[in-house]
Amino acid sequence: MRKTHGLLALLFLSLTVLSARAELTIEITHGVDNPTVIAVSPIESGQRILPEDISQIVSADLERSGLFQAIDRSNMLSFPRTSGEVYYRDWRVLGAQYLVYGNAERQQDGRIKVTFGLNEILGEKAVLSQVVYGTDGNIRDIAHYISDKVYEAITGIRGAFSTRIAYVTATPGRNNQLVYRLMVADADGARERMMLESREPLMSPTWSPDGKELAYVSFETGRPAVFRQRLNDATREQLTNFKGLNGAPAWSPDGRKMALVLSKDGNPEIYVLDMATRQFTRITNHFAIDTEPNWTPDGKALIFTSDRGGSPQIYKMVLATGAMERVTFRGSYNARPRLAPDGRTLVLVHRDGGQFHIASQDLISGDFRILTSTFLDESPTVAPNGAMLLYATKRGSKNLLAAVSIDAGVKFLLPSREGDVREPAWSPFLN
Amino acid sequence: MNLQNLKAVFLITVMSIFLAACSSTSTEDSAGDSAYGDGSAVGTGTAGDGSAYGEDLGAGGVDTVFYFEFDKAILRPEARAALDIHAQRLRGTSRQVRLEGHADERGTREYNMALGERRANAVKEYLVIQGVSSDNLEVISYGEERPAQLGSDEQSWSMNRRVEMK
Amino acid sequence: MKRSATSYTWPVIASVLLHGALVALIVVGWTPSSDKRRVIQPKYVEATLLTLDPAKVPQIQDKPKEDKAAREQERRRQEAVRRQQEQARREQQAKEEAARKAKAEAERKAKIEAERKAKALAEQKAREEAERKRQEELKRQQAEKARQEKLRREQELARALATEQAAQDSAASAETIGSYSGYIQDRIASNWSRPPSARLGMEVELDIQLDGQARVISVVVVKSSGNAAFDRSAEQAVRRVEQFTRLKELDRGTFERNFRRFTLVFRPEDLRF
Repeated sequence: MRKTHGLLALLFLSLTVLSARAELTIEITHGVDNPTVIAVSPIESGQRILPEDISQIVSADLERSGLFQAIDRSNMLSFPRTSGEVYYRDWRVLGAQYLVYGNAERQQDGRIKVTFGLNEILGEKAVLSQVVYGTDGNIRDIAHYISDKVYEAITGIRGAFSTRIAYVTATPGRNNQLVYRLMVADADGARERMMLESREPLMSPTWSPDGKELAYVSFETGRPAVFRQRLNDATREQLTNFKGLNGAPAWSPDGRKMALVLSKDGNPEIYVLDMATRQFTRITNHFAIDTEPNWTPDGKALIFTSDRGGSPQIYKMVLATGAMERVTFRGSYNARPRLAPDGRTLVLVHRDGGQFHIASQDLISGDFRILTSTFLDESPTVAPNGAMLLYATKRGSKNLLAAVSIDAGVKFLLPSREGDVREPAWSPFLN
Repeated sequence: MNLQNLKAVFLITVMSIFLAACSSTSTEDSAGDSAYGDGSAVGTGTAGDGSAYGEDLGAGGVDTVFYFEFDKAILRPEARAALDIHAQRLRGTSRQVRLEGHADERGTREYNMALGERRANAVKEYLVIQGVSSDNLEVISYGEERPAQLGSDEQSWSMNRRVEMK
Repeated sequence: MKRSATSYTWPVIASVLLHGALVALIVVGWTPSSDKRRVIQPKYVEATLLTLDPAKVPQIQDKPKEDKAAREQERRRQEAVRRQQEQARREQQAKEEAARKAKAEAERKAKIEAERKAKALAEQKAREEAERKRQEELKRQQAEKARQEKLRREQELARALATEQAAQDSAASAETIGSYSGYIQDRIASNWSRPPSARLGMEVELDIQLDGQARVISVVVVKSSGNAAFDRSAEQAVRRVEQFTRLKELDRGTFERNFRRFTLVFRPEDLRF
């Protein structure tokens, strides 16, 4: 009997050893998508204090994307500067999933060399390690560069922190008359720069695809006209001077054409201007309002607003064939379309009851989502990586800029400035 | 508007841009102000041309501002009554009239530009039918860019959906 | 050879066990790839009585079999009750106010009570059934024993029995495995944060190893999705769980055979595109 038991035990043992291989497969088809918890250890120079705090800028960048939750520096147990200095336990107890660390060195030539890395805490491994150079004058560029790399490593999507935004402000000036300004700033609202100032309205700023120019509408001649302006030397050129509307400029993806709206023939129609030959080609021909053109990423079609069906809705026209198709059907007001870089996510202004919200519509599945909840949201503009969008909103009687992630409810307001801020336009990638 | 004026505006604007691009905010404010002060002077110069004909459009308490419904460009009866008087006065004269169309802040800006123009055109067409020369009527839309009243309520909105005769 | 029938008992038992184990070994050890089960998370486990065919079950297996069946029965039953409770609770939380919770709680308790009574009844039934079978089996076994004279026949019989036994064992534990797989799914899904670059159709396969305490000791990407961020999100989901505590409830054999090492396939179905 004892013998039998022994034999059984032996058999059992060999059984377990042999069967210790993956037989069972479990499928995971759902998730929760919570923000990633990240810590950014201070990135400092041993020799001299840097004019700006790189790691704070990185933390703020990442948090603004809505995909990250940054750990406060005051809670950190250690400040590693290299991968070797990382004690994973320190970060596990804080619940960190990732850690950004780095070191800044001032070199002989005065440049600053920043060596930074990204480690995964639970897997205890380095994900990224890189060097970036800069000067005291562009610490923010260094920080945004780090943010871009970290964001890309973790999300799989190119970061857009090094991009810029253009917008228009309207501030009461002398005699309470509004002064309009065309502004350009970093994507986080910092380093604001004035490009143009006028007593007459400025409208509809839009970026050239190379990110070096802006086009916009100015009333400085007493009538609306479309201008283009280079950012580096402020040289300008007036592109249109027609009777009636001259508006809604939109550069084609290859930069060779510009779609715009003219009403010189009696009512608003969409035209395409060839930038080289200065020829205008009329695209639409309808007694209704046709406006707010936007190019598909392949440059083959235009998406625009038209009230030809009785209320403003979004239409698409293939330029080669003239084939027209209505895109939106929900509600009685859908306007100002902008396509995300993926070419399938359309963002627009949608009226819901008496309120105007930003909504997105998937052009393939038809999935329609209202992304904002304030009462007067307008002018959506999508980041070049397609992950976020900026829009203008109203708090009380004040116009502000706000951002929302394109697929979730993460919202934040851009730093508020004096006066009304409106019509944001997100630049393309600049590097 | 003559070409000379336009050129002047353009030159001044370009110069101010250079100034704006090179100077700090505090100084460029004044530089910009003076430059655009001149610029806007040319803009109002259009109305000045009109006043050279010596006629006050609002004389005798006749309305010069006409109001509209949301997303509509249909003249109300009281507007038509006032426009009948304007047509009578303007017929056969060379008085230049500027029709400025506006929209309320709701809806998108470029669509509202189109809507403002549609409203101004509604006024223009009415006057033309009444015998006013279309050569003397200039239509300009400001969309929602120049509200008569700030405020996000029906009262303000209704005052902003308008066409102004100048 | 002039031995009495009883003197054969222990050798026969030993022989049956030995062969049974050998067959089990072959079955379990040989068919891992074809036996790869894709477990679909059961919403609840149906608690059906496991019927034992008296014609095929040898007496010696009866006692432990009965216990095991009852235990299994009980566990599945408890699992069913637990899942129902949980589901009811979730729905309550999602839909209703706190005021209505009290009512739900009462209902739930009544349900548990009813469930418990039903379970007791079923257990009683199962015991009676098993006892009846055991008696029948005893008679049959005795009659059969008398006929067993040749070793070859014994071996054949034993092999047949062992195969049958293994099949029944795996049938019995399939539901257990299913419910514990569901538990693993829940734990991982609630820790899985997908990167925004995740898309429908992406799939990453991980090989997971646990220690004896069901703690995660190894996570290896076996088949990448091609998106490093997506792969890492899956790895992190497993590491964040750290320990699958409830797997410790399993008997050693079931745990070792199924959960000591297993495969996870991450394939999102709840994304927009």
